[in-house]
Amino acid sequence: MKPKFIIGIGIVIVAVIAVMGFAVAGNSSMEVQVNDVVAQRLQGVDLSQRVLKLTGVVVGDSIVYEPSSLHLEFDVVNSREDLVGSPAKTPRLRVVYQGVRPDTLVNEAHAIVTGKLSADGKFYAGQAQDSLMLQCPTKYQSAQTASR
Amino acid sequence: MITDLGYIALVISLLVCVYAIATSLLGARRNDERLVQSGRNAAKLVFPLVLVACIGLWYALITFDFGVIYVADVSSKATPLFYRITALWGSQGGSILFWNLLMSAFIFVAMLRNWSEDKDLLPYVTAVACLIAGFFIFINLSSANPFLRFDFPPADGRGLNPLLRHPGMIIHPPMLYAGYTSFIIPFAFLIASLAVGRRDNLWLIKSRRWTLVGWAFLASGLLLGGRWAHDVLGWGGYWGWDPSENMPFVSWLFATAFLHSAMIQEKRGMFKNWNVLLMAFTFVSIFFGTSFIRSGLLTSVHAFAKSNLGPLFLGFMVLILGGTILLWFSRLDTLHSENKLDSWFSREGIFLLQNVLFVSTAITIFLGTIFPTITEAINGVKITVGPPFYNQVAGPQLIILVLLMGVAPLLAWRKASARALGKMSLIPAVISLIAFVLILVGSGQVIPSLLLVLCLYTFVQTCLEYIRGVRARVNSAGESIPVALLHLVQRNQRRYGGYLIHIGIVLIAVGAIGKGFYGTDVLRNVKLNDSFTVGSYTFTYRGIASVPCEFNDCQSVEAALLTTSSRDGSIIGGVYPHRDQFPAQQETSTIADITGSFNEEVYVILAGWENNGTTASFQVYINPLINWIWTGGIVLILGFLLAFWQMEPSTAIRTVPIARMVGSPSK
Amino acid sequence: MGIGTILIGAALFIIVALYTASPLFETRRPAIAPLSHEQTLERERAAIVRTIRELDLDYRTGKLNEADYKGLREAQVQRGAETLRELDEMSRNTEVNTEATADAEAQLQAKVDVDAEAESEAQMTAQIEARVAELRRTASVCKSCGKPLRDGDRFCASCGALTSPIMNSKKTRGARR
Repeated sequence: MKPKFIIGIGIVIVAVIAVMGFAVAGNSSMEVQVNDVVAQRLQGVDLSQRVLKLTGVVVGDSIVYEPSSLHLEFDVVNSREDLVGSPAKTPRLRVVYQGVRPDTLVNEAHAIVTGKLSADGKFYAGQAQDSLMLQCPTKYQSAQTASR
Repeated sequence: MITDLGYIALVISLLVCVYAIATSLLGARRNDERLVQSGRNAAKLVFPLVLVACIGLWYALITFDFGVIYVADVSSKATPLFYRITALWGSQGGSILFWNLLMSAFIFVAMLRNWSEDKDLLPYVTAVACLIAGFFIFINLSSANPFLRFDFPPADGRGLNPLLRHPGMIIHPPMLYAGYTSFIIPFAFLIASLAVGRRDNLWLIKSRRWTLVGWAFLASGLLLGGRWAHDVLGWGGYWGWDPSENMPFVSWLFATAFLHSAMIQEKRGMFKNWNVLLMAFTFVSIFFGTSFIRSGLLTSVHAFAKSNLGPLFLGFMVLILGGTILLWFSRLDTLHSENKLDSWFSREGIFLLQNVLFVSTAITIFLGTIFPTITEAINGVKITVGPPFYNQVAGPQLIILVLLMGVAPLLAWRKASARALGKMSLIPAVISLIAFVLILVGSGQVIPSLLLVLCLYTFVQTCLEYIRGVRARVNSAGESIPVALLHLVQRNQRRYGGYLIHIGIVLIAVGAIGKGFYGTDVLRNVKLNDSFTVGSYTFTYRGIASVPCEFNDCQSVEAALLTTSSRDGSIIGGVYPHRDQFPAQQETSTIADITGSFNEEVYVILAGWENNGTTASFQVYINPLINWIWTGGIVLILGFLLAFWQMEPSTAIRTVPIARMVGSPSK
Repeated sequence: MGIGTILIGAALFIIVALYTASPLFETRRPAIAPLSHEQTLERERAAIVRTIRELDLDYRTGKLNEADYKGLREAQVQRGAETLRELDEMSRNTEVNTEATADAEAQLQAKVDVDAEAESEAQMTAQIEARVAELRRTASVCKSCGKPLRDGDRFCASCGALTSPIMNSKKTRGARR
């Protein structure tokens, strides 16, 4: 292939990589679990100022929803097993979300919350549409025993 | 019993696949037609066997056989018949079975075709197709078996997730799966052609229609998925850059690039190596897409539960990709270009640019999707990128592609004429400039105005292509305009069908820009009989009522809002957003009601209510131009049908007897 | 799984096995036919006709200038004529004769003209007649420089290039016979 084509393709690739670099810098969030956030550290990285993507399991009886102000709060724990432990022992995190309460926000649901840890120890979900996501419930594997 | 027979049939189908691979390859090696035909027969049988397996599972679903674990997972006594049938693809095991049904159906059709022109390819196409189908059937029998039974059957099932009760959900997986699985045939043709060492473009030509069909199914699947998300998920949008959306989009981009670069190979014998790689990447991306989602390796709303499918899929994919690349290397000498690329300023040059952009868009979206996995591998921390990343990175690339769509038809092969380009761009450019000023003044935002104007330019140019073609026929053949148009399209179906597809894409782009840049949403809490205004609409809250659902398996709380125009108070109608509660699954689903006009969608959600409805909260989204997306999708499918459906009166080219015209030659 | 199911399953397996094995009982035949040169040529000819039609359309819709158009089209017609000549010769399997060349180019032209944007029948007839007459005079042209060759030439008198391989092979074949 003649040089002019290689150069042209090269320019396109460089431009795309540059745009990608800028976009990543401005729009990335670190995936963390509840235990990490409670400890406020992950791999030595200070989590207090960064945008975080938190995964946790919803504690059903902690859900508080005020429809008129669309203020939603609930606790998350690290995993399903932690739901049965005593609240004092197992770390939990209070999530604050401003918006419509999702239908799929129920006990044991997997929640994915994008936001920041604030000084008051609560995790504030961001403004974006997808800052609170709950895992599609159909695909839960049933826990009952199977045989053929 | 029928269900058990289904399972037996699935097991037999795996054996049949293995047999087909062995006999086809042996037949090719020994040059024995009997073995090859036996392998072909075996491949034909996979579809009926998998169909029996599906019937078995359907039987269990229809007859409420909760002894089958899968049936208890996706249905319950309250699930209506229609949804029990579509629940076949409601969860992992059944959806892979359904995937196998479609894949084996395509293999079946391929085996039925006339192979007399390319007999040498048949054994390899059979072997490759059955290898891949066999893998998926193996998965279906081992880690994703929908036929497993309980020791003690429960009394009732969990029921189908309410979100999955929507026409979009019924048809979106079949369309997407059909799109994905149909690519097995073009890929098999590619491998066969490389294996046999053919130097011609036969594999391209023979698999062209398959690729087009797969591409169209993928596009429909993507659009339907967006429509479903919009209607049912209650968030006013249609595309969230979720991994399960991104992966089919990546495959679609690769497939689109391939469709175009295949044209270049057909017409000018160039881009041969590129096309091999592109088809391989398309197929591998399909594989990767379906496996990544199913393996639990990605954090996604769509993710299937964690399973051990991951390593299996990954291993097989590495095998396929590695094998293809090795085969390609060994056949490099059969893939020399017949022509050289002369200039960027030619149809070949712009196709190259467009291909590079399609591939770069696909790769950037893919990288964004697997970004967490990469960063985790590097330093143990998963970093994800959100939708703004994709909008900033994919957006510009896509709009440039839209612009290229409008410029490419103006360029001729080898070297384009700058004068001709200027002349033909004059009218669209003037129209675009005027439109830019108007839109800018009207909306006040520079970027969306510019983007819309680029779409307009391409739209006008593409329409002009029809006009130029008709004018040429009217001048040279003296036909009337309607006849000229008919003949023009009939004799150049692929080109003018393709142009119609381009118009569909432009409409989709306009819809995406409108909703993306001009969309707004508000949250309001109102007392009974009070009103609130959003834009040019006033909503008066009239109360809520609790009614049973259509299929009697849920309770629906419906709010009534009177919609009037905020300008003159005239009555527009009523809006009834509702919340459905499903006692069986302990779930609720929020369904919006939609009003407004075609160009301005007003999407209303019942967010909550207090004191039996004395006050209620509503979220209202204004989505300008979003309906252009669905309209564009319909135009796209029409364009596909136009390009695909054989309209030519005869494939044989008519000849005028020379003897009659110039006197017989002395032979 | 009851005994009934197992029996039906076995029956299914037997049916599958029978259908799959049925071709094995026929007489042995070669699986991979050698690539048919004729088929390749046919396909090539069809592709060339399509290319010419596309060139015509591009020119008429104003994307090609006249010089480029004429040059490209002529090259395609030449290629097509050669292909037709080869095809013709394969089906008749005789030595080439000059009329075959003329026939070939004229046939190709006729195919293109009839099927493409139709010029009037009279125009077309005249075009073909003129072309065939011209070709009868100069039965073949040098591939390198385009100058006419005389019958039996092994080299082009104008530029020295070998005449086409087709001509060569036909000559040798005729000689062998």
